[in-house]
Amino acid sequence: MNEQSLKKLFTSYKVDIRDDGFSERVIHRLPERRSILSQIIMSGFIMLGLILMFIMPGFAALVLEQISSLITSINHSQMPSASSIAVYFGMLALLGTIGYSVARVDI
Amino acid sequence: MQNDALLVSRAALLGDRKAFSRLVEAYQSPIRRFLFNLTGGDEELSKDLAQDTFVKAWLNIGQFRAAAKFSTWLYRIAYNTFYDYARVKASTSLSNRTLSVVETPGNGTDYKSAPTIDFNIDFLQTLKILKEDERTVMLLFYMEDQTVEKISKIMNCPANTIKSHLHRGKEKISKYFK
Repeated sequence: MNEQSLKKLFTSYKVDIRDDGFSERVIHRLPERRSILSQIIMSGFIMLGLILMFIMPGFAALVLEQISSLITSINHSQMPSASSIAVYFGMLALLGTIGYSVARVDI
Repeated sequence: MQNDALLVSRAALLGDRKAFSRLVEAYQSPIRRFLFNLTGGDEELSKDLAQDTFVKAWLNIGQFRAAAKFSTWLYRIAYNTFYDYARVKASTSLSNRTLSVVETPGNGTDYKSAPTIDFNIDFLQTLKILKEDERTVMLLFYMEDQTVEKISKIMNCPANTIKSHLHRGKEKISKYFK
């Protein structure tokens, strides 16, 4: 059997298969996957935030002062100041947002 | 496809499912056909293996290097998926089921339509005389139009080994049809 006949044999059985929902079923089956770009962006902004926090004068002092004030108030069974509470919940919200973004981003 | 690279980038960097869906639509036919012939005409099995292939492609798309064609990479995953299955099943003999295909091959055939044509006498029976590696090489070379170099990457075999499989495959089929 020559090359041409062989090629003819195989191509005669070369069937085009209709999709018929196959692609849709595959897409529905795809697991969640973190995109590389979102991870890079998130990591970059976290680093930027940390760097800004330490190089900007007063920022670190403000946050640390409020956290310190919060802890002191709790230790002395006193009501912390509004700004301490605000900073505390702000930090919680920020950490929660970061955690959610890292875990769930899928653009 | 010229826009394969763009779709792959979007799927890898942005996790864009729509972009990946277009890749699946473009390659579902050749991959399913390849697996169908490898499994000896088992339609359901080939469909499952094809789904597994695309899921693995999605999970590992970040590892795809643009130096190779996307189709070559996809065939490699399909090939590995089939042989992982074959090892698990611990059975090297292919099924002898009749293929249900409509019309003449090459006319946008859907496997689920009637009437039934028995391919066993012809093509699938022909493939059964070959060893698994020979069968894979012959299918990729003559049906899926892959070059020896690409088949070498798909099967992770030296090109000379691929050529040997091709040579033996041709000899066996020629003898079969004498």
